[in-house]
This record gives sequence, structure tokens and C-alpha cells, in this order.
Amino acid sequence: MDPVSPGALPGLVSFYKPSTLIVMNEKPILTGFAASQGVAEGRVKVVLDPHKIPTFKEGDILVAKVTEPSMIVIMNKAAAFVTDIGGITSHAAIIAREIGLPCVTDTKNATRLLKDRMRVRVDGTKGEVYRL
Amino acid sequence: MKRLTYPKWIDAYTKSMHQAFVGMTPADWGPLDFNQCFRALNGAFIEKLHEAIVQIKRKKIPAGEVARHFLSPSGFRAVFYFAVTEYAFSDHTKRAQAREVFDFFNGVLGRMFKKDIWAYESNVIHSENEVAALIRRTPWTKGSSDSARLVARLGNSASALSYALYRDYYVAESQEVYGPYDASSHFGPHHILVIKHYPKMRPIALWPQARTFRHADKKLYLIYEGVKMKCEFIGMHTRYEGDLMSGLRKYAVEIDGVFYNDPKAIKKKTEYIGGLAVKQWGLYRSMSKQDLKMKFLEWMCWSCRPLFELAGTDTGPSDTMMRNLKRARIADRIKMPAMMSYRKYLKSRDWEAYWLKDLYTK
Repeated sequence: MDPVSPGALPGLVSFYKPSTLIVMNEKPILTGFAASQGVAEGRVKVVLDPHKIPTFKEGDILVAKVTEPSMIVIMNKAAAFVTDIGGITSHAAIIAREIGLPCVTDTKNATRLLKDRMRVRVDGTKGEVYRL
Repeated sequence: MKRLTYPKWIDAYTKSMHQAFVGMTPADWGPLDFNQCFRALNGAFIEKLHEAIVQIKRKKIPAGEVARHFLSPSGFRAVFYFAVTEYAFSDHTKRAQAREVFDFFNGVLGRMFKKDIWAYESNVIHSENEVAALIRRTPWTKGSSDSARLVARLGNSASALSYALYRDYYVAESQEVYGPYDASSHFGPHHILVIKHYPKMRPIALWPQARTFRHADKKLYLIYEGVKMKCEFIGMHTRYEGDLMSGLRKYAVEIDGVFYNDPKAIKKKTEYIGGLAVKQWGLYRSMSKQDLKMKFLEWMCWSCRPLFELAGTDTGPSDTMMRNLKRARIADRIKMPAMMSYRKYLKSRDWEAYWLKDLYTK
């Protein structure tokens, strides 16, 4: 699949041609608030303590209870954000919309259900997260 | 026709506040439960505001002049909300004082904004002529998806530093998003101008180490085509319709009065500012609960510093404020569930719609 936009991040599939998108039939493992549209795939990285930022690779999916400014460096590398808490104008949602990344907030228990290195698809348009 | 028994602005204000809370919640804000702080103050900050307002009136300083001194109009709007919250949690013994403060704030807000004072949809402080002049004198760079992301990341780093300096309740002090402004006469149909402003980014009086920060003020000027923008109560609570990446037609980055268009230079600034944000955030780890309480009072006073300076009153927290907060038990975070419906909110005794009407009708 060729990305339409040369600026698309690794893992970000929201810019791919619609005809090449895989149709998902599985049930999502998490649902929440569709805070920023687009679809991205990547490996989960759960950040539980904003003071202890783990190694974060370009294109990883940032999973946190809420996002905070100390995470800005990894937020600038992430392909999508998933948070336990938050609305349409929460920190994660605003940042995601600004840089055109998918974001699902208010999932209640993403930090508990999603584990590091798990491959997921984040659908920020529907507010759903699928395990791949 | 039924006559209102309370000022008309209360309806517009509560409608906008409710919308903002629907957008923000569920929420988890820190580094303290600020609502408990407002409760603990028991009207002591309103008293300080009132003292300043009496002096402003005595000096006959017009509302427009007061408005001109506030670099963060959304921050001023937020201060109004905090004062209402403080009143709601207080013992309600100073009703006349609270009314005078709220009426004064209303007057100043009316001079700050060209329309939509409570930012139900927009955050507009510039006139059409000012927008036209600004568009003419700005050195624009052609936009693309790449540059949209480049500039957005700079904005995000600035936003992170802003959060680190002012935290969740006072962040509007150094983050503004103005607009949407119609830019169609300059760039063609369906073009809008959005201005992101990050003022007060070197607040030495609050954080002495900010003395070493290289930049105090950042502005991003963004021309979008086919994008709709609205905001909710404070400028930075933006919502967009349309693709911000492919819709960016022109942009300009201004830092401390200097324009930058080299992507490498912008990236370097982004990394520098992001690094400052992470470092600044780390400072909170060494702060005790009492330190944070005092910082809350400093933020509170900082947000109204221009008012106190114009009035010639003390710019720091009063003894009563410090005494009231020092002895109060305050939780680490505010956890707010999803907002109730507008109908329930209007009737709830827990929210400002009730308290404000009560204040003005009894």
C-alpha cells in the first residue's frame, strides 16, 4: 500500500487509499470516545507514570490514563493515543487533532487491558481499538 | 412576555460553560483538587479582587484600558469562572461584593471580545480591519501536510510548556487560539485564519528558573481552506471540521517578534521547547502539598496581576488566602465524571447556573 501523503507517520494508515483498507469484522477489544479521526496501527506502549517515560519508538501507540505535558516528546513520536479518561477537549484529544493522529479517549480501562508490544489498530473515527 | 429577574449574560455564560464541561469531562486534573482550594478560600480571593476593583473605579480607569492589559483574554474568562466557583463554595456572606466583581469582569470581557463573549463558538478579539492588516504584513510560507505537522508539533511543544508552567487550571494564561477569522477576501473562498498565541512563557515571578528560557512569546498564524474551527469557553479548547493536515494553505511562525520559515529551525525550536516542558514538569516531583498550595495561590494572583498593578494593590496572595488554604485538606487531583444534561445542570444546586441566579435574584 502506498501512502497518499509523504508526511504520513509510520503506522499511520489514515492517509492510505480507502480501497486498500482492510475491512475489520472482529469485535473491538476496547471502545471509547472518538476524539480525533483516522486509523493507525502499531505496537502498544503503556505509560503509567508520566515521570517515568519508557523507551518509545516512532509509530508506537501511546496508551495512558491521561496524557500530560511531560509526555510531549513521545506524543510527537506516537501514531495514535488511547486514554482511560478524557473528552473531546481533553489534552490528548486536542494534541491528536492538531497533528492529525487518531485518538480514542474515555475507554475506562485501556491501561489495564492493553499490554506493551501488543499490536493494535486504533480507529479514532469510530472510537474503537482492535487487537491484530 | 416573561421578564428575566437576573442579568441576561447568565444564560449565555451557563450555556457556554455547560458545553465546555461536556467537552472536557470525564476528567482528571492536577496537581491539586482546585475546587477544594476554592472552597477553602471562602471568598478571600473575591475580596482581593473587590479591593482592586474599588481602586480601579476610584481612579476612573475605563474597562477598555483594563482589557488592554490582559494578554490572555481566555485566561481572564477562566478567572471569572474560578471566581464564580469560589463564590459558590463560600458561605455567601459577601453577596454585594461578589456581584460587583462579576459585573466588573463582565464589563471588561465585553471590551476584550468583538463578539461571543463566552466563547460558545469562537474566540474573536480582532476587528476585520485588524485581521486585514495582520494578513497583509505577515510573511507567509506555503502550507502542506508536512508543514502542517511541523507547525503543529511546535504548537504542541509550546502547549506542553504552557501546561508545565501553569498546570491544568491556569493553562489559558499562556495559550490562546483566536478565530476563526474570515480570510476569503485575501486567499479565496472558504479560507480562514486561526492564530495560536503562547504568551507569558517566561514567567520569572512564578518560576525563577524561567530566567534562562530563550523565548517568552510564540505565535502561529495559520490559513486553512475547507476547515471549520470553533472553540469552547477558552480559546485552546478547539474543535475542527475538515482536515488540518491537507487544509493548511499558508503559515507563519513568529517567536519573540522574529519570523521563522526554515523547517530545520522550526524543528530545533520544537525540540528545545519540548525539552523545557519535560524539565519544568519534573520540578513538581520535589514539591510538597504545602508548596503546591502556595503555588496555586501564586497562579491565582498571577492571573490577575495586571488588574492589581493598575489598581496599585498588592500583587501577591493575602494573609487570609494563605491562612485559609494552609490549614485545608486538599486532594491531589480533581476527578470529574461525564457532565449531566443541560436541563439537569440548569436546575442543579451544585452548579453555577443555580448560584448565579440565586445571587442576583435574592
